[in-house]
Amino acid sequence: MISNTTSISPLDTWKLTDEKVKPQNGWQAATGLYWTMAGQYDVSLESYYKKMYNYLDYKSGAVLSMNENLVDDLITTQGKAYGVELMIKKPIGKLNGWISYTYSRTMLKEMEDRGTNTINRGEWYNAPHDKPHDLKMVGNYKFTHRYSISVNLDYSTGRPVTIPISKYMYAGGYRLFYSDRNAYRIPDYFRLDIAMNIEPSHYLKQLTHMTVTFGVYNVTGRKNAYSIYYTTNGGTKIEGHMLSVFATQIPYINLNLKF
Amino acid sequence: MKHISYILAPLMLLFTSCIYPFEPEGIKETSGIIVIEGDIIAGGTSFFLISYSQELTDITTLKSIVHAKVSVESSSGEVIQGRITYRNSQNVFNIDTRNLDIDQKYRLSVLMNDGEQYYSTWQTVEISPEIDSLSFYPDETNEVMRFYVSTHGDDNQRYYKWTYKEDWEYHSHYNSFFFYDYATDAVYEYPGTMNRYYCWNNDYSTSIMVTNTKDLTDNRLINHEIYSVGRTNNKISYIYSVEVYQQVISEEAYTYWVTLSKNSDDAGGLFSPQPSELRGNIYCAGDSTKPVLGYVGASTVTSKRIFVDQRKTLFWRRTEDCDAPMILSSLDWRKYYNYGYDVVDKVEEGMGVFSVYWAPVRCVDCTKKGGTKLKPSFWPNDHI
Repeated sequence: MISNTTSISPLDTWKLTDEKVKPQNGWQAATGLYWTMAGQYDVSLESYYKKMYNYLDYKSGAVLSMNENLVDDLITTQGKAYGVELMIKKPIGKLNGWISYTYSRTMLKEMEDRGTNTINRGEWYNAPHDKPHDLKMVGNYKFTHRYSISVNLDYSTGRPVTIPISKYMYAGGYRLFYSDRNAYRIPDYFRLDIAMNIEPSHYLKQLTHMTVTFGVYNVTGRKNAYSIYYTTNGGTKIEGHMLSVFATQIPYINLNLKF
Repeated sequence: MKHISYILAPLMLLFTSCIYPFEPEGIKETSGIIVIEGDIIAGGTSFFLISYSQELTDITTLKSIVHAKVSVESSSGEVIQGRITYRNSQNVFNIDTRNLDIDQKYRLSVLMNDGEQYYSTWQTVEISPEIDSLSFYPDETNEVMRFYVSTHGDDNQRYYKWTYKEDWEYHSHYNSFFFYDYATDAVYEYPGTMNRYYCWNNDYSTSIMVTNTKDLTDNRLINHEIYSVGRTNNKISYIYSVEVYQQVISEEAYTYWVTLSKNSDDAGGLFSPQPSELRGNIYCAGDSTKPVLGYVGASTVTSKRIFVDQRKTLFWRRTEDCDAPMILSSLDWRKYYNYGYDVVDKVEEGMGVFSVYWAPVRCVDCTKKGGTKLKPSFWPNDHI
């Protein structure tokens, strides 16, 4: 998989191994602990460590779209990924749901020494999808058999990006000085959704069962970044922009029919 | 089970995405990085512009650094000192490199006022072949005048870089033989050949023009386009001249220039390339991790000049709007002069009665459009 996260619209493409793209390989070790507490809670604690070789990333200045010779713009990196995940589930009861927290890192390092063109001087850098903190929570509370409320919470660290940090005059025009590869991050992601579920009928013999859900997506109206990009305004001033999707509260009504 | 939200979600994406300003947190070292621009030109004069990088939101104009000792050093220990010169509205260091020995290696040395010493890496002098020809083509479809270079070289001359200086003559819309004098509130005829009709202006290239012939069996470029000028640009309104400078550069320098142009010219779009940190070949002797920007190469330079005459191409299209001049009573002269008008003509109507025609000063005075009355010495006509 080859990801492009620098443009206004991030996208991933897939590439088969060929004579220029070596197969990726790696190994992984994982451990896990699982136990049930007080007969109600399922707790799991897992950790892993992974090494990758021939993982692909871009050369500096690579043309990412509509590029017939994309392989010439790729470099191979070695990667390491590690993390721990804690998850607590409460599957039964009036209040049920689960919460999980993950700390994980994915780092890359260019395998080949290409002199001054080597990404970040051959040091370890954040992989494009490295998001160290990730917290997810889903909770349901049943008031009665008919009415219940659901809460969904999602938080994660913003993904790494390469951004211009300075500008300079060179060869008759303003040029951008970029940070090290993936040295900065887009803002953290946070979202809270709340929903009210109503099951009007409980007749066992009925052909269809209907559920109505009223809810609000992104209750706090947080402007989560989908992507960031820069434009030059008036030739001299360079401005950062953040593209945000669902940057406000979105109410919705769901009608589910089961049969 | 049907989830309507799954169907609606992609539709809502279309209506609810928004763009907000973005200021990343924790940015370090956004300005004050040393930038060194210029090449060591064997057989000519080398110019080096030294400056600091600026913050992204800084809109003040660039100030070059003048308090430094700049010199070109040869591998045999020869040192040529530079002096400050004013060129292209900047203070630059000018180094006389006319008598370089092309068999030696050279580097740039910059000693800043704070005692920090910077060097470029040692450079072999690249020999540039002559430009075979320059040509232009009025592209009616895309409404631009395209400029091409043709050249050929040997196996050591695979990477090319061009820069240019352009000069042009342009005219004001009306050729006035009269002018208004505010102090005496009167209209006079210009003395002698004085006029505000003929003007000249010049500019240096601002884009990065490089190419390579490494994949061609024959090292030859035929009508390689280097830049273009818009059809309505007043540069090509009368006589336009460009002198193109050709340099052969090393493969490393070529990679630098290509990456630089990708980083700057294509930022912020759907098809933007992967941006990157770009350092070049200059380093700080005391601290090799300190970023320094710029690439100093060494080469000879060849050049060629062509003229483009609007009277033959008939390509330029006027976009400026100058209404027919209007007759003003002498009571209104001061008022209209203050509005930004000036005299186009003074016509005797008979019996000693004169009509004075006025138009906006931009239609009468060519110096209002950035040019000057300074005619280049090589200009192919006589008027001044």
